[in-house]
Amino acid sequence: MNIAHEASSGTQESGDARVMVRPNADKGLSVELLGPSTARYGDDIRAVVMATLKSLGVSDAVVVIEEKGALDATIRARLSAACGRAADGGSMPWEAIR
Amino acid sequence: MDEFRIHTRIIDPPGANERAMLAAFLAPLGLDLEDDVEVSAVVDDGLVPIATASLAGDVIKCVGVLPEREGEGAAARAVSAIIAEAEARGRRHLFVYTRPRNRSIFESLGFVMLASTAGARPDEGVMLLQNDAHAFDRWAEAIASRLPGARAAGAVVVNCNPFTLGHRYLIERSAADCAGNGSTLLVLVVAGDRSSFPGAVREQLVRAGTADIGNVVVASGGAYCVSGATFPAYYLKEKSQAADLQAALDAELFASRIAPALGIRRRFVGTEPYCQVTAGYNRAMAEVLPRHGIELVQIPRVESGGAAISASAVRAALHDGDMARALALVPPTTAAWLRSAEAAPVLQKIRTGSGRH
Amino acid sequence: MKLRRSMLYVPGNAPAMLRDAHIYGPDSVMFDLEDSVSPREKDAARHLVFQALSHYDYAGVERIVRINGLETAFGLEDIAAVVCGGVDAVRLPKTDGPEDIIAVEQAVAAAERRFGRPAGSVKLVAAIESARGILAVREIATASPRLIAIAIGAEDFVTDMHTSRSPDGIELLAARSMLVMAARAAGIMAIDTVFTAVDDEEGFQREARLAKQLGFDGKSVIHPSQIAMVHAIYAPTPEEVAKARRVVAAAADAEAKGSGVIALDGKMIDKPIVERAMRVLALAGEVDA
Repeated sequence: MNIAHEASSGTQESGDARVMVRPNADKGLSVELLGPSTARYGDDIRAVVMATLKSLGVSDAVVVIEEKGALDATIRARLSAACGRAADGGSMPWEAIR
Repeated sequence: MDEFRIHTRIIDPPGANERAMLAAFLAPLGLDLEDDVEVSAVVDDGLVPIATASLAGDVIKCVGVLPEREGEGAAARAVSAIIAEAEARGRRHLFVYTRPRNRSIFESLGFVMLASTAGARPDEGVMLLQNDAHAFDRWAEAIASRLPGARAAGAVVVNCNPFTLGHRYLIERSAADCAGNGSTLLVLVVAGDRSSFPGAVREQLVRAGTADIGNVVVASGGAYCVSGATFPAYYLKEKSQAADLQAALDAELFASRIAPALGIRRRFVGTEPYCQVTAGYNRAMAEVLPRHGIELVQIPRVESGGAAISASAVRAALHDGDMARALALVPPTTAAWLRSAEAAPVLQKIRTGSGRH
Repeated sequence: MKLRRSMLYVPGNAPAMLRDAHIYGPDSVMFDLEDSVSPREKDAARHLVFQALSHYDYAGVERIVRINGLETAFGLEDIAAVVCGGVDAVRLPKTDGPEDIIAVEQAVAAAERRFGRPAGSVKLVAAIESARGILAVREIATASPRLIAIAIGAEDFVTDMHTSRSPDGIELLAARSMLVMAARAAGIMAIDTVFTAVDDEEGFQREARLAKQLGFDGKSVIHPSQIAMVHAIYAPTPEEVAKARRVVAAAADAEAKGSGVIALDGKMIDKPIVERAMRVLALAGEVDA
């Protein structure tokens, strides 16, 4: 999946996460995590993010996640939706992103 | 908030009936539904509306929640829905114009405060927030990097619709004042295309008309000076209560954020004999600026034939098709542009338009 | 016998609700991608529901998803996502004829093949919300072996009928009865419509009792407080349970003896009586649902 423009999904309400995705001019993946869970669970969240990006076939992107206690499933959902909105076409590989 | 009862509705755009409904909801909260609202979100609990938020351009405003339902997250729900609507329209850098009491709602949604002003009564006052914590610093740093010593002792904020001899006079006098202190005059041109002359043209004419003044640096006011999206009255030129509050907020933004970032100690304005809103704006500045140690210097408008030279006089002449009268009020650089091919569509619009801007 | 006394609607775009909905004890949860989700957020809701289906443990509560119709831009991708996610049943809105069922069935079958789910494992629920749909309810009810229930969507239906909903529901009587008859003839379940006035408990109970009396197997609910009420209405009385136990015991007795005749209290018991007794015990929770 090729990230062609900036897009986002989700909110900063409690239990949710706002995920912004945009092209990375420098290539590669840049992930920024913000929110109350980051201090304690940052590594876990980052692992979920990287695994999802890999499953989506996204290799170049800037990702910013502002979470408010979102569970992994919510972060996966918000990230996938944001990538889908940011991509220039292509289908969603559901079986890969479970 | 009982999630099973809560519904969020997007009204895009609000029609007459819906505007009436929203206005009726906001009125007891002391708020108006402003005319430029494009899309609104309403959160109801299955029985009655409990919160609303609206979008106008890149500004979130008209945000209200029933007092007895505060603290449940309903306002945040309405605002989140509006943010999604804004982003779907490609508007990512968002501003919020709201009551100071809503501050925590917006901060929890990632907004940071830019400026705030108190109103005449306890529950009044307005606050300006934005969702990009660094955008202001980026704007200010870009300007600072063009100022000798990264500071400008004096500033003047102009719309210049178009750049006239009156503007030239104001800037000349202000620049001379600054030069006396060995410093730079920063000329901030109000951005945007709400005026008859597009923002890029207005800025270009200011640069051309002041190129010979050594200590002048011209820059765009960007989203911050005048914050046009949150100060529609500046453009509507209609006196209203809202205009006073907006002017105070704008003056506060200038004095508490812009001036310190750029080392500005004096702000120059031309006296305003005609326009009520501008006069009100000057009054707000006269009140707010000294509180922050900034001096407001009023320079009397230069006259021609017994009348102050104003851009509106130029536009009136152009509207009447009287090019000679218009040219008499502007410097050669502006005159050259008015006679150029590039000006034709702008002049056409002014001739046929009824707007006063 | 699977109980479907209560189907709890959950908007698909609410992360916290998707995770917790089953804890209120409904027989089924229905994640909605259709009318409760704005067009702007349909893709996001699809992802939330997909991840919820894939990762949350719903403790055996049946998981249904109301998709957008195939005539919309969203329906086909909804089917792909929820079938891949492991949904138990797909609910189609606004079913007007058997061709609507066939079309969804084909898409579901294709998704089962694509994602390696056993053929036929994903069931269907059809919501009928128009006069045309009610008139075609017989054909709809028999259109697919995957169809496990048909439901009535009253709001759209009364609008289509140029009337409005009333407390006693006279305007829905014929439609409700036809729906139940078609369900019985096809051997599937009938589910009644939602009652939106959450605070009107009396009104809800009146409508739920009416639905039960007409033969509905259950009712869609929009608030957890409605679940207990509808379960109580469907709960058999102790007398009914006691009688049912005796009927079932008599049937087991006859089978043990190899006799084709079941007798109780000097009377012969026909097969429908035994089946009704089994249903009573299931509703009482004494037989695995």
